[in-house]
Amino acid sequence: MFPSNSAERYCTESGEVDRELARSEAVAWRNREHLATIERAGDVPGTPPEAWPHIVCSPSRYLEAVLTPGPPLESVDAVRVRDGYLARLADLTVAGSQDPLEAATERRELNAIEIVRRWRADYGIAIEAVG
Amino acid sequence: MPESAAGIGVTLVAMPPSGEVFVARDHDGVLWLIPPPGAGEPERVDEEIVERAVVDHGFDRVDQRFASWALLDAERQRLAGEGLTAMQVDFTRFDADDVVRLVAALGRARDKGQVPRARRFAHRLLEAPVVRRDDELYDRVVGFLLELDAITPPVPLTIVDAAEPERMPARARVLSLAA
Repeated sequence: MFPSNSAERYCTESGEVDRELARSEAVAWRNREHLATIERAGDVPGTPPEAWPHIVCSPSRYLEAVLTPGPPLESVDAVRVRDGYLARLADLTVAGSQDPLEAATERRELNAIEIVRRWRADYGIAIEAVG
Repeated sequence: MPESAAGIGVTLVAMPPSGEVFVARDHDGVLWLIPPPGAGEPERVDEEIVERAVVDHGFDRVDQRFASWALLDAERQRLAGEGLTAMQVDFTRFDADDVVRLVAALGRARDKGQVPRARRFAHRLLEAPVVRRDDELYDRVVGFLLELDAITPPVPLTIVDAAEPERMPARARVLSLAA
């Protein structure tokens, strides 16, 4: 998310881009309400509630969302994992195959390696041990 | 990382929804990036790294203070559990490298006394497609089970417990039933 039209805010007419400013003002999608509050809070007093959506978004003034999906799995060659961590994931696989793991973070780790094994089976993505 | 001194506190600064890695501030105000076991050692970081973790790597700001690392970890686990659906382990997707690591993991489970768990997993592993079509892998898993099920040699009848000679007839009856 950006506070306004990114082309106007960060680019000159000659095509130069202020990357540093863009980077410093970029906000993750999940924090969009914070961005809206910071940018539009000053407009709220004196504006009736039914007009608040117009504060957030109007043809001339809006918060810009940029959608960039991750790389397609078909273009990924390998997932690299520390050798010691693969050993830990093997421990979690043994432990979690029969009874639910007690720690939520460990259940998440087991889910992650199961997903990566699925990627390997479905897309040929190698799991490479490093370190 | 030093333990929290009473009343001073440690802070869970940021973590991704999965929570297996997180940023914490210790009671000296030092920021640490703490990975899961096996994935490296905790390292000192600064606010800029934390900001990059939030902006670029899916970390969420938490900024909650706790009296101890144990309380911090309890909250980390609670947050990581939100919206979590556990997946089933799929034995059909293991490859040869997985099997080698899993047999090593079974050895560690056995060494911790988790013998029934190790045995059940090894039996299931024998049915994995990659094991069924690879004699070396099959032998490796069978070898582990044989080690696990190693039978202790029978005690010869002529060896008598000197402290309890009256128990010799009872022992002979038990051994004859086991034969």
